[in-house]
Amino acid sequence: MSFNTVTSSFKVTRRRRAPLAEAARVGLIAGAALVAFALIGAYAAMDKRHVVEDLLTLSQIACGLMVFAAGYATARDGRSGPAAALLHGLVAGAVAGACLALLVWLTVSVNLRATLVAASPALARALSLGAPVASTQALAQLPVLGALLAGLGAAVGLLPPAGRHAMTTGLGVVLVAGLFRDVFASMLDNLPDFTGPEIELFGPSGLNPGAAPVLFAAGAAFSLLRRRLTRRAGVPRSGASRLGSALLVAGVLVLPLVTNDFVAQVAMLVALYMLMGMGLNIELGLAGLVDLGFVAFFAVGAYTVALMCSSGPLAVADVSFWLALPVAIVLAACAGLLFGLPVLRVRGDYLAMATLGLGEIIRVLVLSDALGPYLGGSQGIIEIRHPSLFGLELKSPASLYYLALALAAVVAFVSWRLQHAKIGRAWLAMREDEDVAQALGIDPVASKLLAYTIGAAFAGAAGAVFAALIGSVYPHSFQLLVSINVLAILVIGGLGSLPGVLVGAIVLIGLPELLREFGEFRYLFYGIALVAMMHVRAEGLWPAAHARENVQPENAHA
Amino acid sequence: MKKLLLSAASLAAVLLATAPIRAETLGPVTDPLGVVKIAKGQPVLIGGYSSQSGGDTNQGIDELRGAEVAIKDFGGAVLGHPVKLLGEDAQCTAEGGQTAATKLAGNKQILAVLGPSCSSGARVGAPILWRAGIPSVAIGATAPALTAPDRPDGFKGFQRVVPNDLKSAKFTADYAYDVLGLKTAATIHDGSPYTEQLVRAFEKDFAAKGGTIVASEAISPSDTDLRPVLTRIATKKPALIFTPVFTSSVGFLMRQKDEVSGLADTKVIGGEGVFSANVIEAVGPKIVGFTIVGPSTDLFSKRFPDFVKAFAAEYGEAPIGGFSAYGYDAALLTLTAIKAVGQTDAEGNLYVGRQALHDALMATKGLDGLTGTLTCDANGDCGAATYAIWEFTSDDTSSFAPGKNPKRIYP
Amino acid sequence: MSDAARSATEPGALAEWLRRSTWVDHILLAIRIGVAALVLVGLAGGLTAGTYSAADFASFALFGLTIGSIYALIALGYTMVYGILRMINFAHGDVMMVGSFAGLFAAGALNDVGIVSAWPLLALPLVLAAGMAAGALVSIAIERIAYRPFLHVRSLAPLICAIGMSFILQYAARGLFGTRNRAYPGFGWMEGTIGAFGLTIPIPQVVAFAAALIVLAGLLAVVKLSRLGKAMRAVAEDRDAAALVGIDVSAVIVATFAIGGAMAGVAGVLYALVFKQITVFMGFFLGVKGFAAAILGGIGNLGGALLGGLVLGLAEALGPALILEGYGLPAPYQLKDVIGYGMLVMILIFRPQGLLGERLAAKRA
Repeated sequence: MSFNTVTSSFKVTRRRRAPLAEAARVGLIAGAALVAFALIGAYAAMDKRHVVEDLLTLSQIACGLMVFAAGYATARDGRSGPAAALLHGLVAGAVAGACLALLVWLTVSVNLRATLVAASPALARALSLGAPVASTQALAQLPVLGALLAGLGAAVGLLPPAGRHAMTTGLGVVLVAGLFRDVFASMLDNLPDFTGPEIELFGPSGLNPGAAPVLFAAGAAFSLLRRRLTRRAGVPRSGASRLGSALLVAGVLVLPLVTNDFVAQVAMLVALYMLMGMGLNIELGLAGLVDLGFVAFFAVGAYTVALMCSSGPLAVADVSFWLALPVAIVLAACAGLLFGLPVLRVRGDYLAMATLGLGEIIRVLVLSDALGPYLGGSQGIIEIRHPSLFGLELKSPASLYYLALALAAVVAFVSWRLQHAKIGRAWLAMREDEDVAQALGIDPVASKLLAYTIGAAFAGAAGAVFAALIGSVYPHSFQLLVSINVLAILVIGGLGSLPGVLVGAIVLIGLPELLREFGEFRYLFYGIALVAMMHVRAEGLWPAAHARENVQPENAHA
Repeated sequence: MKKLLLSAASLAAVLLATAPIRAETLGPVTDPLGVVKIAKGQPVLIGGYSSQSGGDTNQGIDELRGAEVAIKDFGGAVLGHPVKLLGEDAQCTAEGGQTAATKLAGNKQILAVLGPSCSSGARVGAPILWRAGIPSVAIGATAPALTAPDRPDGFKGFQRVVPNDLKSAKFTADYAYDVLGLKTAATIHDGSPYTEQLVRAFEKDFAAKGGTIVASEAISPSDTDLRPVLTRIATKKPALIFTPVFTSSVGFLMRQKDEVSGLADTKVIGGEGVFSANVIEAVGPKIVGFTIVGPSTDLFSKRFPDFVKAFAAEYGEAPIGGFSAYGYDAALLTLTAIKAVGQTDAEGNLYVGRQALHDALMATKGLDGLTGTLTCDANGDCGAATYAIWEFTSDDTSSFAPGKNPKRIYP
Repeated sequence: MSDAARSATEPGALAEWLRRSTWVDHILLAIRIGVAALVLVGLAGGLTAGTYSAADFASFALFGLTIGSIYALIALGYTMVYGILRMINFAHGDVMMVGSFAGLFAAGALNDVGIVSAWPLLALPLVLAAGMAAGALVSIAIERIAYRPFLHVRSLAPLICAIGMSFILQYAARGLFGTRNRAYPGFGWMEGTIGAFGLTIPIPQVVAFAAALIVLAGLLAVVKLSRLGKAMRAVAEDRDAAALVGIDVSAVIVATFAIGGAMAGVAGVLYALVFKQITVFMGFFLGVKGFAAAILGGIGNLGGALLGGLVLGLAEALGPALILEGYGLPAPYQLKDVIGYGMLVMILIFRPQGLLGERLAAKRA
């Protein structure tokens, strides 16, 4: 089985309408997106989070961005002159705003709530933006606001590249600062003798209104400056990417020190998923085995540590974490071997379902009353001891982050060596074409089994750290969703790519944790991200070297 | 690289070794755990964590919504400062509770935290919050160990308005054995820690009274066909089935019970997780005569319908889980305590001492809540903990009104 | 094989097998024997325990057939799409959920205008039509978003996209319709029961069973007899060759998805009529069970999907009573998913072509 092998090019061609009709169409699409955003309840929920204190809420920004993007897209159509493009932007925005106004009117005048629960008075109130609910003024201001925003988008779209880049960078800086207020505020908090600016920059939930224009200007200026500098110096791309990697490594190392416990906790979860991701990377990224039951090995590792390092009634031993860790890894590897033997004759999508079934079997068994006396059933195993190092108990999120990171580094090193050893090439050959690999003298069963076992061992290590970190394990933590998360991390980061695992874990685990406001909509945006990713950049955010070679030219003409 | 890692690790150790909590004097207040200053016009921040995503979402979202309704009823402000609830997602898992609690603990302006929904999250989350001097008032975490007299120090800042499992199990066993005179019982749980713990406690109490547990079964929340497991129970001929499972499982169970021969005369008692209008819709006509264990007091009967009305007006649907009322009470308890200990200076700044707030919370006595009169004991159990058996009288979904449907039949 | 070899007795054949087989074969054989022994010992224990009467077993079988016919309906839609495209539509279960909700809203509207009370027999087809239309529309959207762009690329992309669509459908539905359990209306005549073989069977269950048969017949007719069916089989056989002989491959795939989605809609409505309450999260695990049923019967094989669904339903209803009871395990019905998934895994390992074998196309690559 191979990935990203283009067998023929497929191109969707769309009939292009007259520019004005096209603008109306874009406006309608944006309007539909706005209405959907409101009707799934996201608007009302995110209206509580202020990105710019007392001025702009998260939902207003999200809606504004949609309309802005619509205006930008119409202007970038490039078929008409600046004045016409601006007009088209205004039209698109007005149409989008009108859709929302229609929704407000419908919400108030017709009772939609028997079917659509989010069409509540609260929504109408929020969308009236302070005006009397669903008054003429409230309804009229939406299309006007939309037209203004989309006009702004169109204007930005018409700027020369440098100006466009500066504007979007400035906007991006404001958004990132406002959205990730907690990270930046905690960083400023940690700067000694320099606690003043936090008060000025950030309020209790977002940016202060005064700080937003300053940040915008700073971002725009930085963009312009950088553009000029790079043009003059002509820094080669590889140098820039090396600098980027160095910065990334430095950032990863000092992150929990310059921020607070929460960011450290999130970083630790990211490191944990990286561990699992690298395990699955061996199975899926290198050997091409789709595994949806990966969480089972994670559970084996976690329960081993739980049983060996707890003072609870179910514990079989109460030994040091460092003794239990290798046992957990070995047991997980054994489980991998045991599962792998029968399952690995199954191919492709069938393998995905077989492993899904195995993972669910393990979860149900662990949860069951039948094994309850040994594994604690739904009550889990509690009071697991934290690991200690040189007499220092590793208890805080930051110290556990370094534990997970150190293990991840070891695992990354091992994977990297494996990838470039003979067995790594055998895996790649098998992934591309199993029959050819067999003809070349590669024993498919043995090499698959090895991949499966090593992957399971890595997941077992992750499970061991997980148990030590939480201090208790419950079957609830080993849902199918975990396996799918890990799979998605690989796909988003880039199959077979080690740095891709890091990037994928940051994007899929780190960002949603930091943006907890998304709360109940987390998995919705998660789904949208998966689909969008496949469409925009199927090879992953940081593709493996060989994938990059294969795919890039294809993408250029696809 | 390795050196860098080592030095970073040691730096981390030094940084993290410094205790965050120390006695402090700010404005008019001195407190051994520190003082929070809320500048004039700034909001009073209360944290909240519950299950906002994953399988237990209904319950978690309703709990924090119940708290929002309470804040509104309180006037939206305390001592002249608007109240803001910062809700986080704890996912009903230990790691979710840990992450949410860590985030809330990192916000030094937060006075107290409401939640979580699940005992697994409370077990990890409450000590993290208390280390930062933040007391937590749990909404749905019912595990007895959390308020046991010998609980670890980390739980000293933990309280709950939901009564612990032991109390409701004891009440149910008493009712079944003494009042109804039933001598044999079967139990069903759904693999969640809450239902399993409750069922085990009931089994113990029922057996201690001299009753016999003839079957103790389990299902999965995703099961839709419960007839096989009911058939198995029917072979043991219990007089009673006690099952605190949630709304959709209760719906399947009650609808399918009569399709299984031999269970026609068996009584079913449910838990308070289904004390909601939605269970009427889920069960349909078979709801008439279905009994559940729920909060008891007259206060509850009087105030709950208004609460449901306010809730539905705000969120478009009535509460789905039975725990939203506890969310209301947790918020009420917290706001009342803040009001009692907060001190305002001449400029209008508000100061709240952390230890003082905790002491005030623990000293709560005779507070009229939604589920009853709240009084905290020394271990942090604040729930009214007086129970009643409620019986549903009509299958009209709009008729949900505690007192009429369901009607209190005992005591 | 020469005559001499053929005349050799059993030990000779055994020696031959021993010579040819690898260590993997030995372990697989050991697993077969182990599982068989586990089942047989359990079976013996379960039958001798005497917990259940014959009437109980008859009830178990009836319950198994009811849920089995729902699995079969889901599996039929699954197997259609898989048979043609060789791709798992991970979101199929959620399409079923959407169909179910569409049916619910249609039933509400019909009730409001009085059709349910005036022509109760007409209500069911109308509600089914609503469910089918919604299922087909959503399914076409999924094809457009998750499959068509990757039609000519062999990659994980469609699987990932379908997982993404599954999330989107579940959580969008949750936001739109709320999370509460919705009661499904009956239509007067469906409330009753009929008696057969000494058992009383609620009418919706009979309807579900009959519907599974009718849907199977209908699908078979489409695939075997219609022009579209011929094109489908051609596309399943070899997509490029089909395109060469002038078949509009894209249109055939869209039609396949539409039919699969409509079948999911039927499954959703009938599921709701039998079990009488729905939630937005009901689709995912029913979808996985439906897939297991499709594989059990032999994926791509329509008759197999029906058989697989019924077998899976029976195994889940009877398995805990027959096998797990024999080991005296507490709460055996908590482990019914172990039996279901265990069958899925065993079939995939030892008989990947399913009970009836793959059809519609030659063996997969």
